Amino acid sequence: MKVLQINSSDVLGSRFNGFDIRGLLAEEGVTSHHLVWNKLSKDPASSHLFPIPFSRQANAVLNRVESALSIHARLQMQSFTVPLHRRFREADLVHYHIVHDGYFSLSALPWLSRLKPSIWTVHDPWLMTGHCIYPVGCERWRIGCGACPRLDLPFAMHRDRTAEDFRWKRNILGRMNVDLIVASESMRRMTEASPIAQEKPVHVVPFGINLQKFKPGDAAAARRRLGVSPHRIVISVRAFPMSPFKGFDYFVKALRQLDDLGVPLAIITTHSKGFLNEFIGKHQIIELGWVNDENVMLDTYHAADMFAMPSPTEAFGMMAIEAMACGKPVIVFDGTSLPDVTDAPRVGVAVPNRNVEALAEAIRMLALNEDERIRRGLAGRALAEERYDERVFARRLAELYKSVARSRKDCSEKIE
Amino acid sequence: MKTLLLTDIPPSSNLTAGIVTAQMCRAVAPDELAIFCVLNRHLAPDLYPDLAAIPTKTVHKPNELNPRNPKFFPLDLARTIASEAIRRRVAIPKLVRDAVAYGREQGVTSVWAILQGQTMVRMAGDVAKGLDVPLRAQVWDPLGWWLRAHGVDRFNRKTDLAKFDETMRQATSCAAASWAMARQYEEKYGTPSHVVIASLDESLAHRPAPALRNSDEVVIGMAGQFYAEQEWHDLVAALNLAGWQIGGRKIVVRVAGHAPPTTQTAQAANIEFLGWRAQPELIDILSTTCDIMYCPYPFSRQMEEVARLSFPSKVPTYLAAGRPILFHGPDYASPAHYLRERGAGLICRTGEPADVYNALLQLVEDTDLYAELAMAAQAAFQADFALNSMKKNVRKFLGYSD
Repeated sequence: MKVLQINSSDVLGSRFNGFDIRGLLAEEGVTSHHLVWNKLSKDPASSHLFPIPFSRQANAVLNRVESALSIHARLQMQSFTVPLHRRFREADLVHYHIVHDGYFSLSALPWLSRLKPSIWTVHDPWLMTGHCIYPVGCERWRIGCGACPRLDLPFAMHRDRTAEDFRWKRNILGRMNVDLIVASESMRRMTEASPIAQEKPVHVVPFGINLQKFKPGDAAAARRRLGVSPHRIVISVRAFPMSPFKGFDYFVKALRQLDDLGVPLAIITTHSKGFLNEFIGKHQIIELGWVNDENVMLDTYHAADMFAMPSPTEAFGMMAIEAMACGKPVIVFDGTSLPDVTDAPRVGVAVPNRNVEALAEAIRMLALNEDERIRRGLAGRALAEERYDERVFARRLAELYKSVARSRKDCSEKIE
Repeated sequence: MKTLLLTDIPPSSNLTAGIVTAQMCRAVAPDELAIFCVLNRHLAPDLYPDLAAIPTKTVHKPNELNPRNPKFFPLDLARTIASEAIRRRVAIPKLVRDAVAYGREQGVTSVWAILQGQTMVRMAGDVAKGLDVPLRAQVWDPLGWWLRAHGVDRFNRKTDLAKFDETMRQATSCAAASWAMARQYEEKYGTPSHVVIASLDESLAHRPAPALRNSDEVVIGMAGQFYAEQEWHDLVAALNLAGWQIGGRKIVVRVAGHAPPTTQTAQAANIEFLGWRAQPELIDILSTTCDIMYCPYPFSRQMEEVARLSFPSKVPTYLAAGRPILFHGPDYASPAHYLRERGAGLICRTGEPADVYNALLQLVEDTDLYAELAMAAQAAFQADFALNSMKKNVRKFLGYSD
């Protein structure tokens, strides 16, 4: 069976878009090819979606026009040329991933989904809102948006066209013959409650990781490589203060409440640098910046005593399962996918959403309680083995591909 | 066999380059050397008595600095282009004639030219040709950096860099400031290159106990010139954020050199400036009153060639003090390569305050790491910077076959 994956990039987000598991899919009888807007890999398993001269420049102009008109993912008419691609013609099924970051028009999807059996992984809630990627506590996505309280959230709008966009998405999805995939139960609940997505079949397929790679490792060696001073409790966290969805500022506020902790802390951050300067001299701050090297990423988990993931909103939480697979306890916020994903309170430590005091208290509890860290770490590894093995992920996807393709074929035969 | 040393800094005890030149001069008998020194008129070198027997002629160096002011562009540029061109056509030929005459008078059989700055580069090849003797070229720093730092315009820069290439090809041997430089020049010019780095008499080396001196304060020692000013400011910024303490210990920075570091009044209490100290005293101070040796090196892209190819003479001094080095500079810098290879220093690869402070914290809190680095520093000094091995390299560079 041949499956075409359409996505923004092959390498970026490769654990979400199936690029990493193409070998495992092949073992399940699925040949997977990636048609992407940003081809970063030299692997022949991916190709450019629109290999047309000046397509980037033209698209940049379209994006500016869209921004001026307060619309998104509508004007990229090149999306209608996808069926001209040999890979599309050869495919038995098309799996859409991130198609909403400005290179693809959703308007093409109803037609494309009529040409080929289609699956769409809903990586974030954007599909179900009037404009935002995450509604961040707002409930207006349940009733059609409009009068948006947060037009500044990505993808930002200059004027409020959220109700109109909502109707447009509802119309698009209504005309699509597509099965949706979500990675967590909270996203499933959201799709069921969404006026846009509730009519569509939804399958929960949690993402998987390589559990041979993400496994408990030598903490002392990792700490030495990262330069962690001896005898410190190590907290690993992703520093992404520019994102309103990752909640790094809650972590910073919680850290301010831990002056009297009584044990020295080392904070290891990835992504951004310079946002913990106020703690220099109080705690050891190890800022790794943007990490491309998977071994360094593994070191950040292995060196840690706990992993903090204070996202106030989250569709899945890949880093949480990586940390659990490495045997580390994870602290998360309620009201996101993360308590489900980390099986809190049994495994993950979930605290009320945006509650800085509770977050600080959870850090304190784990910092001072080694037995609890060990217990939750072991339980996290067991949970990862049970739910988040990439081999299981590949098998589930392959089964779904086959079943969707089969039911579409049956349907067509009935019509004929 | 007699060699004419063509240099802009004579062997002298109060200038860093002069100290190394003196060490090199001592590798040969005084009657086998003559010095033609093209000296910057603002410098007052203290000459070593033991080298006083070497015949020396000193002349003034033409001004090499072109202060640039973008406000007066393009007049400013035109002035620089013209003045450098005039110097090249008028001042240099006269200096070359003088040097050739002096060389003939001394009966020299080869020229050892230190290619530091545009004047020396413009002269060296012509002096050797005029004397019809082999040229032996020594390089401390890449010329491109010097020319930019002295405001030489891009047209004259291009001409001078071409002249440098020509001189290096003409040279029969090269004394390079680092292993990386020796490798690069051998590959690029085909000139056999020898690494000559400032070294010290073994008797000056200290072997302090490989631990912090006490539990009340941490003293960061720094010696030499402030080429890497931005990195110094990064260190001060990190210490300001930490309130000049580390794990409850007070932090003091002790600086020795010609010029005091630029600091704000608020930090004055924690920064001590000792002024210029003779090497034996300096090494003693660093070893007995400091805990960590700070070696900043530029991250700036403009300084990349310098960082890759040069080697700060403070590194051997630090190693002789027997304390761990905190190298604060890019990973590709030649001292970083060296320290990594020898395990004699901790490398801080960014200017981020957290990273700088963290490196210090590691040295303070990780006693095993501190001891490991201190022992390796002492061993590295013995292996690479003891005077005898330098002498051997100098003699090879100067064409001695022993």
